[in-house]
Amino acid sequence: MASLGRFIRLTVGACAFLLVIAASVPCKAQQVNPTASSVNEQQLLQELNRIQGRVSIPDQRSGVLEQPAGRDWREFRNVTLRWIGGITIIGMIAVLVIFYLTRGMVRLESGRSGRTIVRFSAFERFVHWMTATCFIVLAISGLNITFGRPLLLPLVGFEAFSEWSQWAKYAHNYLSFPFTIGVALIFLMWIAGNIPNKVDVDWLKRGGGIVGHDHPPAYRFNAGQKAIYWIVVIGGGAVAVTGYELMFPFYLSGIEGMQLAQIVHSVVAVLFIAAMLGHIYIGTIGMEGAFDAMGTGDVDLNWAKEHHSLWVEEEQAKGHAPSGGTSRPVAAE
Amino acid sequence: MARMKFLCDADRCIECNACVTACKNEHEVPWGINRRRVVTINDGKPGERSVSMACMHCTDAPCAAVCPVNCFYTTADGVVLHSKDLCIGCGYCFYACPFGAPQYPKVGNFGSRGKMDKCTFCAGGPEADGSREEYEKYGANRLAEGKLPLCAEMCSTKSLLAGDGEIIAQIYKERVMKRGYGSGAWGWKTAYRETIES
Amino acid sequence: MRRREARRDPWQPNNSVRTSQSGSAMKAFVAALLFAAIAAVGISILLNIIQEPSSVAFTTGGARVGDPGNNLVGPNG
Ligand code: HEM
Ligand code: SF4
Ligand code: SF4
Repeated sequence: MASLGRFIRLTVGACAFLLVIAASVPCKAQQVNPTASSVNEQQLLQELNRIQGRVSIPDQRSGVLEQPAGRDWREFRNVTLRWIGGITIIGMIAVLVIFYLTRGMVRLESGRSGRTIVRFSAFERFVHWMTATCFIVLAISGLNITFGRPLLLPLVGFEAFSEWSQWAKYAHNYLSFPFTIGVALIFLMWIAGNIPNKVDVDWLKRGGGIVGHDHPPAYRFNAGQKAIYWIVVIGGGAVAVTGYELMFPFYLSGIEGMQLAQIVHSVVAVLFIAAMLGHIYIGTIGMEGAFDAMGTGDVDLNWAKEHHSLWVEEEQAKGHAPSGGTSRPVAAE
Repeated sequence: MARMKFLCDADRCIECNACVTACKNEHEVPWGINRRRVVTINDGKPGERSVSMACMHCTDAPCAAVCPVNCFYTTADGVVLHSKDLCIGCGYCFYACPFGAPQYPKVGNFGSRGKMDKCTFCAGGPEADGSREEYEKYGANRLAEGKLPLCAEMCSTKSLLAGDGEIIAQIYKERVMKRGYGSGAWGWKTAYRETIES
Repeated sequence: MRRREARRDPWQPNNSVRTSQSGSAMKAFVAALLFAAIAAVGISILLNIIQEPSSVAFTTGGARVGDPGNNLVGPNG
């Protein structure tokens, strides 16, 4: 009997032991919080401001689950950009109008001599006008993307505005190619005359030909024109690079790169447009005789002497310009 | 009126992609266009979670705000829809969308990405409800038939919930209370500026 | 490069120096417009040839996609 009692005691003990173990297992399981180690949305967003994962479809962009940065980009595009663009462009127009009203057209002081000097060859004028016309179309179609919805859409209605915007977009996208060719040619064609030098410092100090009232000497391009040249080359380069990134989406970067490209593209573009308004002003109603340079390509000798005295001397030395008398009734020089 | 929302309970989602398949089938979505997708975070690591994501039909939708031709509209149910007749395919809505919802028929822009396509909450588009034109441009209009989005209806684990925001929030809250944990209503804060307290 | 007249004897009378160009002002401008239009049309044709539909770009080799159809993407999608 004693052995039976021992057997029972042992069995009960073993059972109790097993029970304790068995009980401890589900007990442990209940304490585990399955989300304790799980990814947490707010924490992931704080780390990167973006949540990315794996997807089983070939379109890998869709692996970005959340990018709240889109909200900031929206704020930039709808608010910040419209302020920057509105202020720079309307501000520039206002400055030019005020300038024209106070200063008027800068006249040729010595009048026209009736003799001309070749300033821009046919090829140079071809490149200039190709770039310029493309620029104007790009500017209008680009500004339509930025300002069309609040300004033009209410006037023409949804259908007409979409139709026009579709064509404007085609024009913007495809005319960007001749525009880029034009900027590249401008860069190569006129780089020689556009390296800043000492003469420019003096020219700037004296306020150049349009702000100041005298005619500081200049070579083929004065400091103001050099500034325009570099704005076109650098600004044109920047809008081209970012524009192509926008046009070939996601080839170069992910979503954040696309947003950045749009920001750089649009800000540089509106500044560029403001600068070009100034350039157009000086080339047309701002300064007498200036338009001829890009019109016929030949400028009046007196204009050249007033604005580009050192260039005229160079050309004369090379025999490209009338070396003798000018309109001024002075004998030989 | 109900304010329609999506909610994916990531603690239930098993990445079976039934929602994706349901969507593809219901609207005859062509290859390459993904109105809904399942993203797995920390794949293969402890604590991995899968989230089924489509257009969240945001409050004050960013896509609608940036669209240069203003082609979006919000229905009385709070569903964000757009007109493919007006869309110029600029791609801006994709940059603004926090959830990568907009899709395009072509990959390059090149001035011709085609008309944007995205989840319609099974609510079609501006065309007459249930018309052939509506189906060809935007897919089925289940909401007009009194049905909810098929993705959520088909979800085998009932992880994906679609419907009146208040009701699905209540369902989720109860689940979290009962089981004692929940990793949150993914995307709600970004899309609706609110989250579900539990 | 700019093409200029060959070097001249500086002692020659001025009227033999090329101080104006024959072509009219409009010529370079019209040529510019023509070139821009042709370049734009050309590049648009080229880009549309290499443009990939999403049904091609986002399909792996294992998938046998016949005609993906034009539902949702329209006839030229
Ligand atoms: C040089 C090559 C250029 C390329 C490849 C290019 C490309 C683009 C692209 C792809 C867009 C997005 C909208 C769309 O798809 O139509 C865009 C927008 C825009 N572009 Fe350009 N562009 C170029 C030059 C310019 C220039 C020269 C200007 C200004 C004069 C300009 C002004 C703008 C503006 C204002 C926007 C709208 C920005 C916004 O509101 O979001 N672009 N461009
Ligand atoms: S999820 Fe994207 S596409 Fe949908 S409403 Fe929000 S911003 Fe628009
Ligand atoms: S792609 Fe279409 S819907 Fe999207 S922002 Fe552009 S025009 Fe609007």
